[in-house]
Amino acid sequence: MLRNLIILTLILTSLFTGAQNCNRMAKKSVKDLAPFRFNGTLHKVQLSEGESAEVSLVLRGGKKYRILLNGGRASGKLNFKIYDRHQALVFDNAKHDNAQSWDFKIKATQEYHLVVTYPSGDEGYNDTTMRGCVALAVGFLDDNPQ
Amino acid sequence: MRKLLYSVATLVLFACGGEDTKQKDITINVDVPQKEEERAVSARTLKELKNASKVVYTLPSPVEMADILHETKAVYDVAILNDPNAIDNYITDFKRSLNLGVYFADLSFTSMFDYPQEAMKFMGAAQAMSDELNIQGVFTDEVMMRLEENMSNKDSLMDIVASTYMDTDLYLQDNERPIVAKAILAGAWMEGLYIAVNLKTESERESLIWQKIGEQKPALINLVKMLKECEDKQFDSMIVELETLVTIFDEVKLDYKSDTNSTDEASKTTTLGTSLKVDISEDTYKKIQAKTTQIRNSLTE
Repeated sequence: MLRNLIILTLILTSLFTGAQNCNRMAKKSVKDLAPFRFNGTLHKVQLSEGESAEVSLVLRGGKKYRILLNGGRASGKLNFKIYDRHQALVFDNAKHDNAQSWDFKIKATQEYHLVVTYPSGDEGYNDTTMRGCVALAVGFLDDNPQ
Repeated sequence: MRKLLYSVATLVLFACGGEDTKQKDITINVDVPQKEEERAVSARTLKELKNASKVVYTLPSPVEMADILHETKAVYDVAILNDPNAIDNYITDFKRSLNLGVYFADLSFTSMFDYPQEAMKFMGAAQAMSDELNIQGVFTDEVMMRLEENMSNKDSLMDIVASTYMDTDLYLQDNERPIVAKAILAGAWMEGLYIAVNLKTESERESLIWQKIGEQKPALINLVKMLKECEDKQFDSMIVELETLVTIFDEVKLDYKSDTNSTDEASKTTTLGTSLKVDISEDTYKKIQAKTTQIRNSLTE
């Protein structure tokens, strides 16, 4: 019984620390958006190796956006692709040296789907849950400021 | 037990969702002659999309909604906003959550449109509502002090609003309170739309506001999907009302024209060239205005 309690405490402590670390990492992404204005919505998700998550984003015409990913120790290896509303691929960071940050000029307001994939062969930064924290921050600017 | 512990670590942002349900645009007129190669790419990417294990529907945040409407150069009457002293009217956590979202939107609009005194009142209302909901560590004394010090600096004010909105969401994710989180998002977006349909401007600029409202159609559809995936009865009546609003929005025609995309490697910038024509009649706008006002008032009453 005592042994189980100790294990449970250790796991919960690890999870709490993991969540705190994930938050810290995610918040750092917001700072890295400068000079773009953070839109107020920070996406974070825990993925296992090779797993993907999709975020649907409505990007506005006349704006310039910065999309920035942070994957902790998987940074530099996260793949992200962007699809338009017809699900046609419009951007793949694999074709741009796996850039973890990219800017987009948007001519017309439209919904896009961003798919981020955690790299295979990486156990994830939280060794207890074997899942890695991925943060996605979006900032915007006027494309042609007066 | 292990599953339970893992679920603690799984973030609430995804807790209401998870199913792979893709949006289908019904009323969009598209002029995109697809080549064989493009069709093949679409089929392949569709397969990749279906492999995504988690799907998140997002809405424009209050900060974005305020920015959208600020660029129309329109004005609004502060009196249409929710009463910052109405905290005690909201008894249940669900109602409090919806109205915390409403207050976030009111805070964003008063900050963006240079009403600093009112912004302070709404920050106080959001702080009080946050306390009622036992959301800790967001509206700290330090944050309130920063707000007071930056009242005359709109950019700083907007940064503080965005930061508190983010911290609230992170807190709710970490504490597994997805219904509260989604209710805040829903309340904030509805208040933004409500302010949008009540903006005042010169008659020759009215159509610009109507277009901005018409462009919210995909966000409205996302909101309905997001709330449905929560599978919580508290959202049922709101979903029914929002579906009626979707029916009205179906009269708005979004006419996209595809153009080539281009990338500048040096500046790490890709230009997405699609253009859009929003076709919205005055009659449709008035129906959207009436229904939006009715839904929003049911949230704040």
